[in-house]
Amino acid sequence: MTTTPPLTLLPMLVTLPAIGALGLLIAPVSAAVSRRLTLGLMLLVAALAATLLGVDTAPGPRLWLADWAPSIGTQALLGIDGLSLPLVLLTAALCPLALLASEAINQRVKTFCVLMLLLETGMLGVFLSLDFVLFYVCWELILIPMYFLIGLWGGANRQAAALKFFVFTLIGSLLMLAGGLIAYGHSDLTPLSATQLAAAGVFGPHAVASSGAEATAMQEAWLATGSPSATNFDRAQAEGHALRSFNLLALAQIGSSTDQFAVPLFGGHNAAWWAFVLLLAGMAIKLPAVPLHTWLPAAHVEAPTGVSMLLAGVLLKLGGYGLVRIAWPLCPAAAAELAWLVAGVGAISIVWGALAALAQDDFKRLVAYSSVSHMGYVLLGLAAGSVATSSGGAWLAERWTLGATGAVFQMVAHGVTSAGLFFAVGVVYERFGHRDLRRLGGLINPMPLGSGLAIVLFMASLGVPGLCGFVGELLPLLAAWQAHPLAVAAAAAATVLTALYTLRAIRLAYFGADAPPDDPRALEAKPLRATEILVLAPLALAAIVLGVRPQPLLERIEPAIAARAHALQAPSHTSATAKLPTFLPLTRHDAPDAGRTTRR
Amino acid sequence: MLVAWLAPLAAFVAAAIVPTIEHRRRGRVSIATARAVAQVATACSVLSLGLALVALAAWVWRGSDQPPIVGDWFRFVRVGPLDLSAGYCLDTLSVVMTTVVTLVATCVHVYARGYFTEEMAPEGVVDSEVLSGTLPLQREGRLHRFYQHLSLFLFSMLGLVLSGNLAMTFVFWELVGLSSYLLIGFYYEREAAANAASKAMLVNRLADVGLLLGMIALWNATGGLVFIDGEGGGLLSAGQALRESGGANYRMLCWAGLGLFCGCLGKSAQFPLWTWLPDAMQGPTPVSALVHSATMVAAGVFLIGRVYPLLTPEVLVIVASVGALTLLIGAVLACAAADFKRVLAFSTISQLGYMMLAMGLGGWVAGIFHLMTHAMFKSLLFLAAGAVIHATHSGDLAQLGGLRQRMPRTAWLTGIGVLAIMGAGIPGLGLGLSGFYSKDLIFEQAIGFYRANSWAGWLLVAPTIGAALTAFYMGRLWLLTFAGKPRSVAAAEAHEAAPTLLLPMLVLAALAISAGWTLPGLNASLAALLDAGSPAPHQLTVGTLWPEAVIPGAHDHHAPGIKLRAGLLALGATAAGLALVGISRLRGRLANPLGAGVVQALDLRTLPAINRGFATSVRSCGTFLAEAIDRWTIDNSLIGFTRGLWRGGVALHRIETGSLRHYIVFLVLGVVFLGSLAILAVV
Repeated sequence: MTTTPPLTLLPMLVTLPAIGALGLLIAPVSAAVSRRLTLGLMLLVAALAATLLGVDTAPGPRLWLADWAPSIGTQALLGIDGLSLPLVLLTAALCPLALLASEAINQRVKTFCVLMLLLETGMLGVFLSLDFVLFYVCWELILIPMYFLIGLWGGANRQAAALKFFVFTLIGSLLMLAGGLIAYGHSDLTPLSATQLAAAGVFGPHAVASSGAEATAMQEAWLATGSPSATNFDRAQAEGHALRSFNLLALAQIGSSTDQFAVPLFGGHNAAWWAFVLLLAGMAIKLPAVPLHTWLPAAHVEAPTGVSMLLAGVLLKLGGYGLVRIAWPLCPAAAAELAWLVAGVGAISIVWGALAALAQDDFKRLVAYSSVSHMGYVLLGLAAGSVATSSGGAWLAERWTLGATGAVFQMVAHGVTSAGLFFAVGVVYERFGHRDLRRLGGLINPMPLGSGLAIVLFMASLGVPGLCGFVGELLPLLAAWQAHPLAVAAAAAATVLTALYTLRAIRLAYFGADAPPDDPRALEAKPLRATEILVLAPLALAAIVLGVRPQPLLERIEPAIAARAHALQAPSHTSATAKLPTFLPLTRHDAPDAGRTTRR
Repeated sequence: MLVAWLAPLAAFVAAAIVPTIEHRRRGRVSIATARAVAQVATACSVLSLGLALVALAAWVWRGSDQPPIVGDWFRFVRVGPLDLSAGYCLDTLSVVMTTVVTLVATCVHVYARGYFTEEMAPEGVVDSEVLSGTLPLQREGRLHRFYQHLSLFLFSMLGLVLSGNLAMTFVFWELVGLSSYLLIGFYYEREAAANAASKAMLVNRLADVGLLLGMIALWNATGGLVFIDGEGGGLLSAGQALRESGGANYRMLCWAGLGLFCGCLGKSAQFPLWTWLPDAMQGPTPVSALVHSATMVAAGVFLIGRVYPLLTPEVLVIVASVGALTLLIGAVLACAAADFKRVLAFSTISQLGYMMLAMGLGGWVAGIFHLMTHAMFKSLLFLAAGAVIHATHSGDLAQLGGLRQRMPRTAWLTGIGVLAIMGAGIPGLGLGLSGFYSKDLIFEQAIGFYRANSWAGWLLVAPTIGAALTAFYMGRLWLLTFAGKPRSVAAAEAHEAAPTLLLPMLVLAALAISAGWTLPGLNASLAALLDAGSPAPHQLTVGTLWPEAVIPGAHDHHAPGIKLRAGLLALGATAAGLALVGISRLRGRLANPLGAGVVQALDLRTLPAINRGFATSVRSCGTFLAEAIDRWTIDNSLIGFTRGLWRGGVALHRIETGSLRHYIVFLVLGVVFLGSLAILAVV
């Protein structure tokens, strides 16, 4: 374990860009220097994030904990596991690339750098925090720099697009907040077993118990420390009132092993159902899922290249990440009940996004709509393990493992390809001053390398095997077939549409005759600069590596998902207040019985 | 057997090295580099061929009825219940296919060096089919790119042939599609070529939806995709068990089989998805010889052969019917086509129809055997087409004629190909060119099938008519090109092809003659080798859902009397076709046979119009979603909704001015409000 980096790295990762942003704000440095400093800081963060690869995440999340406001049950709880690791790495890697891609920005460079750093803090914070309050704060933190980045450096209609982005995502985050608060309002830590509390990091970040007795001993040691949270716990237990918590790990334990969220709320549905619906709606806006996606094309068309890369590469993953991290673990039964809705929305998004992309003549709008289409696979994958019946519990948990792992992989794959594609579009825009596909053509002759790399990324986005998009599409489809054959068939049919718009874009932009030498267009079509190769080549390379050898990444993701799926597999609700038959899966105790009645 | 692994690796090295060299030399790729690239690629192809021949020899020595050799290269994906590896499966089918693929590929690699002389010209290439401004387009040569794509194709094709599970098959299936896309679009400045490339990939993607769903369904039903695993289990035996047990999964198996067949419809250009193949002739002719006649388009037949135990009699009857329909359509269109390569393209479609028909009739050996012989004579014919086009710069039959005097060697070699595809031979003695043996086997199969299924008469009539039409269009093609008088200046001044072009043609011609022969004294032949490795059941199988569908056993066509009848039927049909050619020639209607106008209108106007209409309607559907719904309905209603909210709020309408401070205030208020609501609701 000597090679394991210390977990104080986690708060460092989150705060470093913010500290850098503050320093940059105060320090009197020129535009060029601030750009260089920011790049250096982002590279440092990326290097630090890369050391996280040394953390063994297979046994469970590795935590870092600081008491923050124990009286309302919130702590600064950060953690890294197989679910957050790939997305943290993606964020840390894309940020410097996005900055490199922002060479064209030459006004208010310092402010731009400050905002980019703040954005990075927010994104890393969301992926690393395991406490709902912290999660929400970071989530909102992203909103503000993004608003300014679009609104100040965007295209002609930037004000309207920024406002639209802001309003949509604000509504989304409020819905999400409401969902989280419902869960908080019904939570109670005291009935949880010592083992569960230990696993949730309540006794401290390093207190992972291997046995029940050990956990009990830990609990006693913890209570004896007299820390504020321990005192609260002691008092709540003694007085018999509930101890609320924002700890996402603890909430997941509550959601899967107790019936605290199963109390009826209103409309005939219980708290878990409402929490799930609100969380789902909030995150679906961010994802984005049809019909809540219309902010995305607008924002992308106006945003500058580097910002678009982060918007598509990282911001869209927040929604998917939130669903895997919060919505499913907290409300497994509601998720199972509404799986048809999630799968349906996913399939519709896939088809809708592809059709809409087909209609675009604006190169960037086309790529933006393709994002809508590709993120649909995330929903489809998550909906794979749906019906939590006792007779097929283990099998369905396996399905969810496969589907959700595929969904996370798809998020990473899409992060790589969409960032690369937006950059490729940016390259074209910078040279020609427009993105109209009908007026482009023949780029492959004057810029062979740039076109070649862009075509690799386009093929990855199309789902050509051997590139990353294929794996991210195949796994959700395989997993979801049993539960939602129609949705899978629709998604599979949409691959034709994907091919249609991708090939159309390639044919119009890169193929065809290049301009004759005396045409002014020929002068503009310069080959890639070194910086541009530095941005595009790693992304294309990543697309190939992830496509040929997806297993190392999948091996990282799977244990985290499997641990969750296992919790989803046997939620032992015993409440009699359920109004929905499917809401209450039978307990482990009942399972053999149920199996027999269905078979004989 | 490391051999199987080394062969595609060698090709892959070629495909990987080439772009690096190209990209290192930014700006302009020198001719020396391009030539070096071509040599490396050719060397790799030769190496693959050598290894494939070693593997074939080892396989024959080992005894081809032995169980296949299977194994994994590396693990691709293992998540939860899913476990996929990059695995291989060596059996008679894959070993023989590897040999055929590498053989034709090597011939084409050598041939292309002689064919692409203009790509190596130091002053660049003048493409007279594209106008740049008012002048013909001038561009740099890109021989290196051709060999790069060609190597990628060879790597993918070998991967497809050797793959040991359905997922890997799908991976390489798509990759051959991709390399085919790149190769068809080699002359991407030409609009027709760029469009043809897109169309080929799109049609194939459409068909692959079926393949993908079939694969997903099979995985969900059996839990694995490995064809044959080390213990003799695997997908094929699991599927066979499902088929034999009947039951609830039988219907699913039928659907999965149809899904897989749907993938084959695209790749093997079967009805109704054949239209991409004639367009694919926009690619360079060596590509047409390798990709679009001998290897890639045969992949559909190969896949059917690979998953044969999974196919129920119902599915096989559908396969046979589609094959019969396709062979007729292809043959009719070939009779009317006015371009050398287009005739060959339709002829390929027709012959692929023969293969599918044979597979569907239960003739696994007949179908695969015809695939092999067809690979030889059809690539020979395409290389001959390339030689003619190289000499005259035109493939238009109206511009050719009389080339026999100027290009006697090409004319003779083409003649061999023509006779082979007609299936020339003497039925009584059992001696003929390669096509004779494979076509006879198909006719035997058809007669055997007809005896078991009296309702299926048309599945015997179709190949008979097809054989007559084959003789007609091939005779017409040869006569219009080589006989008579030159009909253009270019044809009159044509010169004989260079030795680099003739040598590969000679090799293929030798094989087109002899591929069907039995080795004297050894009693070993290709057909016997395939027969020993055939997965087709020996007893007849009857459909569960449709008991009328009876697939005869693998050796039922050896029943007395069938062989002679089949031979006479094929010979009679061919003779009729040749007679038709003679009559047409005497009447001077060879270039423009009866009904050609209607057929050509269908081919060149009606079908493309349908394609365009389809594409336009899909696109307008997208426009509707993006504009009418996204922009107008959703956006406007949400904007209206939010405006309403703001107005309802206390003096919050100023927010619309875009002041962020107000949003933050609103945000904080919202948080406090919702938070207190939620907490109050509970406490």
